[in-house]
Amino acid sequence: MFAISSLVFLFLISLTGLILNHADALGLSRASAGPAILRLYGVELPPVDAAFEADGIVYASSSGLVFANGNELAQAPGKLVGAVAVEGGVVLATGSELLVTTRAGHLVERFSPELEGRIARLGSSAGQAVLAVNNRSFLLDAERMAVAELAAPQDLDWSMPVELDSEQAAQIGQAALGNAISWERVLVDLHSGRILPTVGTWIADITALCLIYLCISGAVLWFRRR
Amino acid sequence: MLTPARILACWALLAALLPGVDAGAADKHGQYLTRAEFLEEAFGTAQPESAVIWFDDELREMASAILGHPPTALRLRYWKGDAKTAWIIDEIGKEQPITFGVVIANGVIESLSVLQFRESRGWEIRYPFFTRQFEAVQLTESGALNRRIDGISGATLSVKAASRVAKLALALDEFTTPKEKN
Repeated sequence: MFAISSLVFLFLISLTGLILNHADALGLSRASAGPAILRLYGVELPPVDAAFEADGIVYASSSGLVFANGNELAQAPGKLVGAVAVEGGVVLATGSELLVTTRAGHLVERFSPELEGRIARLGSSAGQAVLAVNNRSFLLDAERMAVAELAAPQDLDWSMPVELDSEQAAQIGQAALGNAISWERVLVDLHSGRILPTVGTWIADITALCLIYLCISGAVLWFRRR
Repeated sequence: MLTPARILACWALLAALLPGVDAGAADKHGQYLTRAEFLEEAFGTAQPESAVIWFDDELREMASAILGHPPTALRLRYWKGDAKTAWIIDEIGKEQPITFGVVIANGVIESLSVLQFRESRGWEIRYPFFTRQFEAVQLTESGALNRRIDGISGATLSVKAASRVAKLALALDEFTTPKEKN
């Protein structure tokens, strides 16, 4: 019985190890494990970090992704701090980055302004985007993707977050969940035994120690026979 | 005498010590070069104004063939001056984008740099021992790089991302710098 169970674990460890050796080539790190596996892991829908409306489109961030009306727009670490309509498009801001999109929600260009501090808020003035960074205001030139400090900003209209209804939040959560658990992660957990919390790790450790002992004792016996 | 029990004890001791060895190598992501620093390296104090290239259908198809996916944005900014072009391009390594800077002169890569690295593995590509391989590289007639780029163990996807970016920058440079016909 012990021999058979060791064989099963040895087979599992070897097979998962073989596949993991080629995980990159097989694209396993980018392949989502699917809803059934996510349920097994007890993964819940990620919350929406922040949502803003601009020009009739709802922009939201969740799990390092930015969405436009529920469709993935871009990967962007950090949560959205604002979205404003400007001449010719929409400007979105996270703490460290600006994203310019078309009015239809397509990404035109992204830009990380080199400023001292994080972007705290985004607003608009006379059809142009204004950033608030450390109590200073900067005007964005969306054509040149450059910022210039504003001495005395006037008629500023700051972007305010909106509350999403449960259906919108669920749609975005579902889209953000897509990358939560990859097949590579599942295989690593199988390989290490972590697929069975606590017990699985111990079984993997014991199997490994038994194999180490077999290797060493086999070598010792071989030397003795010589 | 060397008994199996003593040998096993030595192994256990080694196994307990080894996990600490690589601890310092983890988590090397960060910003290595700002845009301003990259442009200063490329053009010195006389930095040109930026220009943009819009991905129309033809360019989008070309970029998709090089990258293996469509460009993520509708336009790409570049700088042109002093008979050179400089490109800042984001490309995903394993899961997160890597920001590369490429300087091209006369259709040949002058330098390739890693401006920002966001992943926990593969950051070794930022070092000159890797990026120097791209110096003097150009495109062949078939659109491939004319030199084989040596990989780094454990950074395969980052290395491939760098190669794709190099190819794209050279192709876009060719597009923005039409050759004079004799």
